[in-house]
Amino acid sequence: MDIRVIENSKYVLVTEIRGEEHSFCNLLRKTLLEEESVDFAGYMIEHPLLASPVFTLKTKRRQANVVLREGLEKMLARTEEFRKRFHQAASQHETE
Amino acid sequence: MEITIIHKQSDAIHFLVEGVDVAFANALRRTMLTRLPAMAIDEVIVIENTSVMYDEMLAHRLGLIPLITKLDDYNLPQECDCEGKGCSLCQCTLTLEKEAGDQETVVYSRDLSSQDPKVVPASGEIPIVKLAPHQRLIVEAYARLGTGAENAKFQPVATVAYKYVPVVSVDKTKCDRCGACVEACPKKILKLDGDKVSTQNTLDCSMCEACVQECESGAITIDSKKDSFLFKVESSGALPPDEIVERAADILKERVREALEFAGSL
Repeated sequence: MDIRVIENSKYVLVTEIRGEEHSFCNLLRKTLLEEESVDFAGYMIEHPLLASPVFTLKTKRRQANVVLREGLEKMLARTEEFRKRFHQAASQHETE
Repeated sequence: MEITIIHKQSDAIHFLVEGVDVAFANALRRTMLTRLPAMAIDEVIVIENTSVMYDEMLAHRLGLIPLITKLDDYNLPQECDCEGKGCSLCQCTLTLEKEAGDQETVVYSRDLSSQDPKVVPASGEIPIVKLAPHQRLIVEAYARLGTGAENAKFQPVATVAYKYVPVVSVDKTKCDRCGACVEACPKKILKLDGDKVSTQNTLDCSMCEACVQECESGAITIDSKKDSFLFKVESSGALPPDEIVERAADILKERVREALEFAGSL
C-alpha cells in the first residue's frame, strides 16, 4: 500500500491509495461515517483498471487526520477481534 | 461480534458472523478471493509433446491444477531475495513423464512428480491429456506463489460467498392453516405443526419468497438481519478452509496497519 497526499488541511484530507480497491476503501468509508464529526467520506476510482482510488475525508470541529487515525484504529480492532473469535470457534469445532 | 461455525469439512466451512457490517463482510470476501496467495504452475518447459494437444493448451491445463500450498515455506516472488528470478525459496519444480504403450492412456495430475513432497496436486484425479498409443509427454513445470488479483488460478478458494440471515415469521392471527406454504417451500423451512405453521432450519432459507406468494392471507413475511452474515467458503484444495479465513483476516489487518502508519505520519 502506497498512500500519497493530494490535499491536507485541518478539516479536509484527500489521498490517493495505490494498490488498493473497493475492499479496503469501502470498509474505511463505512467506518469513518459512523463517526459524528465526519461531514463527508468517500472514494472514487477514475478507471477500474488504470486508476487508484482517491479517498476524500471532510470533517467538522475535529481535525481530519485525527478522525482518520481513529477510524483506522477501529478497523484494526475489529479485524483483530474477528481473527481471534474465528480462530477460537474453528478450533473448537470438529471437522465433519 | 459473535462467530458460530455451522459446518466444517476438510474442504469447506460455513459460519455465521453476527455484529459486523456489509463493508467488513465484503472486505473479507474480496481479500480471500484476490489477496490470499496460493501455489500454481506458472511456467512450463515442454521437452517432448507428441500428443494432439498444443503445448500452450497443455501449459494452461497444468496451470489450473490446484496445488497444496504451504504458505510459510515459500515467498512471493516479488518479496523473495532473488528478486523474482526464481529460487528454491519461491519456486517448486514439478516434472511429468509419460508414454503410452500399445493402449491409449490418460495422463492424470497424480503423474506429476514434485521436487517438494509437500507441494503436490490437491487431487490426483484431474485428467490432463489423453495419449494415443506410443505418444509421449515430457514436461518440466515451475510452480510459484501468486494472488487471485494476478490470475484466477492462484485463488485458494472456489466459492466465497455470504448472505444475510433470513428471518421467516408467520403471523398466527392472519394464518388460516391452509398448508399451501408448506408445499411451496423448496427448502422445507415451513411445516404444519398440529394447528399452526412453524419454521425449522431457517438458515437454509434462500429467500425465494415462494411461500409469501402462495399465502393468500399474507401471514408470512421474509426479512433479513442487517448485521449478520452467513459465510460459505469452499477451498480449491490449496489450503484448509479455516486457514483461508484466518490468513485473509491477517492480510486485511496488515493493510489496515500500513494505512495506520501513514495516518500517524500526517
